[in-house]
Amino acid sequence: MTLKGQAGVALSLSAFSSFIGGLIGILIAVFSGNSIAKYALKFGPPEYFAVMVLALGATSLLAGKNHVKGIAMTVLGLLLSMVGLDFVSAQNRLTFGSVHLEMGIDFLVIVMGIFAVGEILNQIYNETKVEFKQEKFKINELLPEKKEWKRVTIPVLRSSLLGFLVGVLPGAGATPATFLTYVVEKKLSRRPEEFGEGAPEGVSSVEAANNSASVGALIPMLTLGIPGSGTTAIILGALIMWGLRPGPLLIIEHPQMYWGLFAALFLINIILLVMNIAFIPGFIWIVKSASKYFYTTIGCITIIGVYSINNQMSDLIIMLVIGLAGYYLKRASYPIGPLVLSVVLGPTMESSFRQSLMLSNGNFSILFNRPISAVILGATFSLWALVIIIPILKNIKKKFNT
Amino acid sequence: MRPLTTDTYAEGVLKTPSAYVKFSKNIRRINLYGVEKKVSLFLIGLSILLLYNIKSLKFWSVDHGPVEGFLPFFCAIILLICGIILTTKNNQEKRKDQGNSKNKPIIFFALMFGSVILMEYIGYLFSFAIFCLGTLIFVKKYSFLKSLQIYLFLMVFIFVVFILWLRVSLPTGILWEGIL
Repeated sequence: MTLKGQAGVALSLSAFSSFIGGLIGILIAVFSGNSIAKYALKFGPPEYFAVMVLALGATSLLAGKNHVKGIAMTVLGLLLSMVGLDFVSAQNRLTFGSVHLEMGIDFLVIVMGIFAVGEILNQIYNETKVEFKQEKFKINELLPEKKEWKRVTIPVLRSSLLGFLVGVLPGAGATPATFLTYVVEKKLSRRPEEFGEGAPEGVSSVEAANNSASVGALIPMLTLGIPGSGTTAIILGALIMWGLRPGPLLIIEHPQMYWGLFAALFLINIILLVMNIAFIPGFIWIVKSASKYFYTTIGCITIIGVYSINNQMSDLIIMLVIGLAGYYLKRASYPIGPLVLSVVLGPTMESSFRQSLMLSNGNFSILFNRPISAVILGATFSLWALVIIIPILKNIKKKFNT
Repeated sequence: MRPLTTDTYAEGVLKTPSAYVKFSKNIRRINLYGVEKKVSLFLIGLSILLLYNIKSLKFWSVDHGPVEGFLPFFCAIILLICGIILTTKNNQEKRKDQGNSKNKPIIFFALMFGSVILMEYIGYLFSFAIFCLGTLIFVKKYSFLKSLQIYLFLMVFIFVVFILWLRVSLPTGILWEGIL
């Protein structure tokens, strides 16, 4: 659309579609959240363990092209979450005799290390620069015409619904939702040849699905305590830091927080729409003029932020070590999402696993005897089998053909 | 002689079997020092280190089932297997590294690490001065005066937002406390 001279229209269409997608996602979440939470109350330790295995399994497989790297990152995240005193026996685990590691590694230290230090190093390495081809944007150039509205209305509504459903799945998140809706809209469109050549519904459907999926990903996080993506994993970490325990009881014990979150999301959507349309020229100016000092500023703020958690220098050293590791992992194309997700889910997954086996006196059949956990674990193993068997079959077919 | 790379292979320069063998050796040599190889070797080393640390822990209890060493042991074993697979698999692949500035991230990291180590002794004002001036002069290539301006502006911002408003207590420096 930019090549057609419709950069402004594309920006405003994406802003309006994001708003509608987000709004539909919020409405579905508000009306379905309560019933999902009621159903989640039936969950015991084996069911929780099964859902977490599904979430981690799906994330490690869907995070990137190389599944081995995804699995390695999931396992590394789990190991990071196990550092410190064991919650049952109070034994030191993976501390290497260090007193600083006895209380475990704070989630915030890991996140700041990977997403602040690691990302800065990565951007310096890649010499990332922000460039804008169009120097100035005027508000009246941004608004779409009636014919464009007509073209995008149905795709936006359809993509919002589809995006929400994909977002609810553990491990899926917004990225698979956008790809899926783009493919679906291209298939359903009367003008599929225009996709990739400046079709407004191509921009709108993806933006609507993206926002709707983000709201959808909140549902398993709030009702089951299981984040479906890296972003919701960070929100979960923030809620835990505030003393809240996301799960089926959150809606009963902290209704003000639960409904307040959706009210805030609704307000954010409106504010974002206004900001996306009205402040585009201002944002461009900030990014163009202040981005040169971002690395230094973010570096200082990161140091202050991590130090202020426990007022300990050891947290800063751990953050830097994790940041350096994160930089090399990114350079080697390792997916970071599974690592963050497993750091958050690790403690709950281990406790539900050990509680389940305590209930059954060490008998693993408890995980498969209960219907809900059996179905979820069955789905996980099927997914794994599908992902592993299909490439093997393809290889055999290739060899057979040659 | 022109060096053997994936580009020369793609251009069809390598047609004879002997040239292909040379090319394969070259690919193997490039990957041996590649970042992917280093990271996968690091994962193997880390998993061995973790397994060594876990060996003193209990795995199973008759009353409680799995205990403190059970899951860490399995996770470390899976990490070791993944590391071995990735190390062997990387010999067949070559991915072009997109980055240009190899030393700048290391300079940035060294300055950040140094300022963190010194913070307790010389205080946040001076350690941030090392970090800010160092990164702005050596990484972003600004002049000393311009870097000093940015540093002073940043310190005012940090003082107003974090010290006065959010009441974060940052180390003022053991060295200065001792002198004063």
